Amino acid sequence: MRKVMGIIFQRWDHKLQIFTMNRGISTIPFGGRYRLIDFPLSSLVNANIHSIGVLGGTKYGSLIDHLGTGQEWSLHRKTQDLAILPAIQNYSIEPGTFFDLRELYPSKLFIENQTTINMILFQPSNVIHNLELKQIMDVHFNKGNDVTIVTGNGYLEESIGSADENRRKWHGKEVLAVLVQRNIITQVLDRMNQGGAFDLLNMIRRNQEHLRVNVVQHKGYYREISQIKGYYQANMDMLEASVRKELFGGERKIYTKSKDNHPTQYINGSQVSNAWIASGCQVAGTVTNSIVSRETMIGVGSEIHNSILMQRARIGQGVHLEHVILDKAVTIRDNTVLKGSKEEPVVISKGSVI
Amino acid sequence: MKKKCIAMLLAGGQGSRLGVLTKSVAKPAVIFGGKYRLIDFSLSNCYHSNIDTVGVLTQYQPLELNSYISTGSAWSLDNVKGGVTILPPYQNRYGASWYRGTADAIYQNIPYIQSYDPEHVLIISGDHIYKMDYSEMLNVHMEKNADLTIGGLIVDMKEASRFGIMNTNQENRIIEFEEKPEKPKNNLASMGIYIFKWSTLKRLLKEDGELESSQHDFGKNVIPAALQEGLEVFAYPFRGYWRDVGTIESYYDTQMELLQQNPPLNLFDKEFRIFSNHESLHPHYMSSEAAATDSLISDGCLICGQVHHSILSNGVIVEEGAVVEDSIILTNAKIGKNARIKHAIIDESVTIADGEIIGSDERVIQLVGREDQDA
Repeated sequence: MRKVMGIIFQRWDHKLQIFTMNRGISTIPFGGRYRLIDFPLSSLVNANIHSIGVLGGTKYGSLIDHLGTGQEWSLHRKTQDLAILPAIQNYSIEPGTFFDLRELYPSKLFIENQTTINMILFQPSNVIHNLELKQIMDVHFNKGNDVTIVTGNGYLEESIGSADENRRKWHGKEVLAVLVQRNIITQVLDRMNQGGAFDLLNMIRRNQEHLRVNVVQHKGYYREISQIKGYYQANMDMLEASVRKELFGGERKIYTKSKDNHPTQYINGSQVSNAWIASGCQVAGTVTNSIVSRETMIGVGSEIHNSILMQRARIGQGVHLEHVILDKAVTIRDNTVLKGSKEEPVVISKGSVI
Repeated sequence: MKKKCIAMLLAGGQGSRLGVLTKSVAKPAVIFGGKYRLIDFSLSNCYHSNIDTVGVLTQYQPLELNSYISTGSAWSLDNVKGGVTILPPYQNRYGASWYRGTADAIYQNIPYIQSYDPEHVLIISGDHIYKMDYSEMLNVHMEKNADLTIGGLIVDMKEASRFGIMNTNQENRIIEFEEKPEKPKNNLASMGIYIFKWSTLKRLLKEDGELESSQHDFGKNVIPAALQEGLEVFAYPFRGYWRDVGTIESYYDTQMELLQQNPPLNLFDKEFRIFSNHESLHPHYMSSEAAATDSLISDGCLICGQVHHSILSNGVIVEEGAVVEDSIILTNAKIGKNARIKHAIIDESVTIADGEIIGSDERVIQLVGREDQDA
């Protein structure tokens, strides 16, 4: 029987520092009510993978808060295991690394204790998709492969502008997930003290002739988020019918922490067009081409265009926002005007009062 | 395990005056305010009152209600020391019977209550809209060492003849109970919320259970018996928002109140949140052609038409050119292209065909149920 463990890891070489001052990249809010990690996590749950380790990084407070008991993902059963794994980082990670296996070393026991597991699936926490994994795992298992690499294709991935970035691709294609036989990983962990290649992809590359490596292409939507422009664009993708249908319209749901919010209230004078609006908001102004997260208040006479408002924004009256990203709990005072551009949106950090 | 107070929630009512809305679901499971169901209010009140043990008495069309309550985790009632227990009628060695009345429903579940051996039992129903901290009422009940305390809503004297009125003395002791009096002497209406001393309730229920002539109803039989006996019966005056949504008109009007700028029922209040249990849905999408004014729109909706002064539940679709006004659209209903809906309630999962016209400018509420469509 195939039994899979999912490992969701963090990317270190991103340019989203303005969002990650107090949180890891995996818990950056996205799409009105989600966090980035909801997408890889839901793909695991939808494939009946219930043994999941999430590498928390150093700022894991928001991750613990978000995942809670795992109830929203049905991961709070007695026989299922959702663990936030410690990341003790006393080494530098080379640019262009896909996943440094040294990060897993402190969690060796978590992997060793689950003896019935025979495969481990690695996914970065910062890619938006609705990945079908069941079939990929079946093929991997039935063919007796050692490694299956799931790559993306179709949508333009954003470039972080580093010469090393090709190293974390597989023949030039973005890697969305890597499925590896468990014994390969435990062997690497056992020999870790002896040095060698620590990047998962690099290790596979070096040992290609000894391993049965299969490559599967994910044909659907995906977008990696590692800089502001890509974050902005991925959010705006929610306004595309085809993306919405693929991410939210099928059998495989995207799960997230529920907030028990009231339905969103539109008050007289509201004008809303081409907008993605979460629950618990009060909208009195104008909103076009924008993403509005939970519990946001938009005052009378305010205009929000081409912008992303994360949770609990307080927008006063007569405000004008264009190409703006507000992190959580930002207050914008009456009659404030903020304008960015599609290429360079204005970003306001969490809790600011402008 | 001894408890100070547990709650028994009467959720077996049919609510026949809600017409097709309760044809296939029990009244407490009827959707309200976009994303809630009526029972959310009582269960959330229990949570905010620190009551962690609730027996839910079901009888009529319990399927949807039972699966909605589930483990009770949505209201944090999935704890190990009690939690929520669904109590349908059951068979014992003497035979089986349906719950013959509100008092009989509790009577048949004496073993459930006894297993917690509580000092007091709170009896509530699952079909009223209100926010209330029952622990304050319990404190007063205990201070007075009462056998029974009845929650009383302060109503307009003019409207008092519509209710069961409690005539009280200065210390709120109930002297007399009058069902819909022509000439009301007081304006304290029974809310159907009772706190009994468990020892007293057990005795009263056993006595009532043996009476052939009794209708086994709290209002008609048990409370009059308690008064006649001269027990310590007090009223607990409640000044706050409380609505009975037992008729289509009150169901409609109460929800339309939510659309006011400062509605009398504040559902945005974080301190006293009303919890509900529903699947994880994405934010709603408003297309380039969409418009929404004075409305409540829930998660999962897809709006391409116009929505004015209306309430849309989870997953409602309004297609291009459709206009929804002064209406309540329940979960997963679909309003076809260029359809016009005015002064209407559209039931769960109903599809309104393209171009169809439901309701009119006249303020008569049209109800389109699931069954109407099957025919």
